[in-house]
Amino acid sequence: MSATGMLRTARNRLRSTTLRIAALVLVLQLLAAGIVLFYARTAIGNQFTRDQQLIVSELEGDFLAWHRGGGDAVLAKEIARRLDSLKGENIIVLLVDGKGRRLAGNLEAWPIVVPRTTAWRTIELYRIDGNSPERLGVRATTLNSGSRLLTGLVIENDLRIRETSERVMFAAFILALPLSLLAAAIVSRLIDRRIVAIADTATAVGDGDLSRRVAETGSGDSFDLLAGKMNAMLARTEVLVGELRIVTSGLAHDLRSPIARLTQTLEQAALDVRDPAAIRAIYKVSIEADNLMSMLSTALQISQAEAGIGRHRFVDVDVAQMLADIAELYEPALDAETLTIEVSSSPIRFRLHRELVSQAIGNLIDNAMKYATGARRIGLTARINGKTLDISVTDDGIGIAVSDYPAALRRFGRLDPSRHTDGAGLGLALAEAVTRLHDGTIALSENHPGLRVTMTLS
Amino acid sequence: MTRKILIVEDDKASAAFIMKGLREAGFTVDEADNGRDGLFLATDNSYDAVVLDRMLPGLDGMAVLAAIRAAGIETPVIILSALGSTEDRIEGLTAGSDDYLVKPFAFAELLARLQRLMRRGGAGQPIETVLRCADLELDLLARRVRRGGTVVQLQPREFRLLEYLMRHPDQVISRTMLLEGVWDYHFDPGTNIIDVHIGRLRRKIDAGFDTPLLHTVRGAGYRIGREA
Repeated sequence: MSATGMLRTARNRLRSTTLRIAALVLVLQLLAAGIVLFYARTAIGNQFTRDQQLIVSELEGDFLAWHRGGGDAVLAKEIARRLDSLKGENIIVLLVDGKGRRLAGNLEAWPIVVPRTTAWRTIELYRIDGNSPERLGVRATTLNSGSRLLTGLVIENDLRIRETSERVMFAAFILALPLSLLAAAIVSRLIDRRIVAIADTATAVGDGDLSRRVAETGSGDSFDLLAGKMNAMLARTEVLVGELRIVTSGLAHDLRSPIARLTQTLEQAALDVRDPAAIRAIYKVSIEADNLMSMLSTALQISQAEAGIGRHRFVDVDVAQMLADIAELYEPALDAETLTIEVSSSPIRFRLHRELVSQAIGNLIDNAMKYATGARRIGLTARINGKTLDISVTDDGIGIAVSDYPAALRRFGRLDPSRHTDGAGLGLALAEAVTRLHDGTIALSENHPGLRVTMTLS
Repeated sequence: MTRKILIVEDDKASAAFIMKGLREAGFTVDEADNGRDGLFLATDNSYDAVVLDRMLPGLDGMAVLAAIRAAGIETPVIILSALGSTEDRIEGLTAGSDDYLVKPFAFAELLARLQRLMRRGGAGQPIETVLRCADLELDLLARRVRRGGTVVQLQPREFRLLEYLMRHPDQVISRTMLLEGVWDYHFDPGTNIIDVHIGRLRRKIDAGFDTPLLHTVRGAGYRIGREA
């Protein structure tokens, strides 16, 4: 998968996660608003009820004092006086004797639903003169004379207030919804921005820019923690890759220097000796030294490509022109072997490492020349396949058995067990490493007849 | 006046090999076996060319090169390196070297490149539109080649190949120099690829003429010139 493709998928996944976080924020906000409003509503309601109970119980206490002072008659008088002076007020009073007959008060009779004694009860009743039932909060007490006293309060208005406050609270809740949505959107945006910054850094590093780091805000939050840990990891990776470079360079130096001395000695010897047998031997050894050298170079190039070294040299390349150039380079040599080469490519521009890709294609052509017995035609084709570029090198020779494909791709792997044909067996391995440098894959397939090697670059 | 060349190379055998060859070719040669001494000698500014190994004790070759260039010294520098990848080569060239040669190299290759550099150093060449070698004539403007008055038909790449050779008459030009100069490739395409191109070109410009002009220099490369 390409780096951009991975980033896109990561972003999609991220989006759904942020969506979930946003949804969670929304739900929690609404829940919090709901709980607060519900609590407020209940508290207000309870306060009303307590106030009413207090009024009623004070009123009752008053009446009880009168009763203690003068019995039923005095109390009845007092009740009548009170009701007279409090006309229009929402006071309910009823005094009945032991047999349930009304002695005083503004209720017709003792309501059946109210027991003889109760601290608080809510009922609906008609008052005397009342033309509609009212909601009442009442208290009932049995007096020591056997008569009973009912005191109460009309709470119709209180209920209206309570309903109004509920409506206000509902409106507040509705208002909380868009605010919660906004908060959720802001939260997801903030998360998105931090994560995308980290993802972008990962992409840049994946593409070979090992010096890129995530910006740390210094806030010490979890994103900063992640950025810090990631930067530490990147620093370590950069050091390791740097060391790898030093090791490969060192290896190159260590191996090349003796080979250099070997060829220098041979070159000198070729000038000094006159014996034809010795000259022939020197010539043969020189060729072997050259082969050794080119194997070493290619092996190092493969290691470097696999370490991702060279990505910063990717340029926009005219692919058809690149293939034509390679074909032109190899055409005379192929012609000498009575092979023809054909290029087929539509006008394509693609970002790649021209030098390495050219070398890989060259190696594949060289392989075809050496191993595709019976081949007459070599084909170079390039095709854009969605976002990837397929470059194929085909021949019409004897081909390779499908079971031998893995062996063919192995480094230093050659299908000729006796290793008579010369060649280092690095051609395909280099092509594979170069393809991997381009986040791609290499595949062998049947060309009917012959072999098709396809490098898919992305 | 003999040309003076400075060799900065820590590998004794390599240094001796290069010095011997250059002295035989008629150059005066000085030697330094570490970067510090090399830089000290190079800043003298009396050399016609510097051969600089990339990996040196004391002061790394690239650092020496940077110091030489920072001191305003324009002496042509050719880097010798065991680091052969394209990346290393490009890094070397962009750091201010004039050429880059990967170890191991044939001495003839180093000689050919040094001669090309020093000739380029003797600047003030007029801009030529027609290159000549004996009765072979290459017209850069008309993109036409004649030999002894007869027009020779060349493919565009053959034209560029001949142009490159004719710009360096009587100099040995190696296969890698051709590959870099004509094709802009820095890898070894393997299997006598360049030889076959030269063979084709030779058939077109030399066939039917008494004096061959395009010569193969065994173990080194090719040379265009009247003398065999």
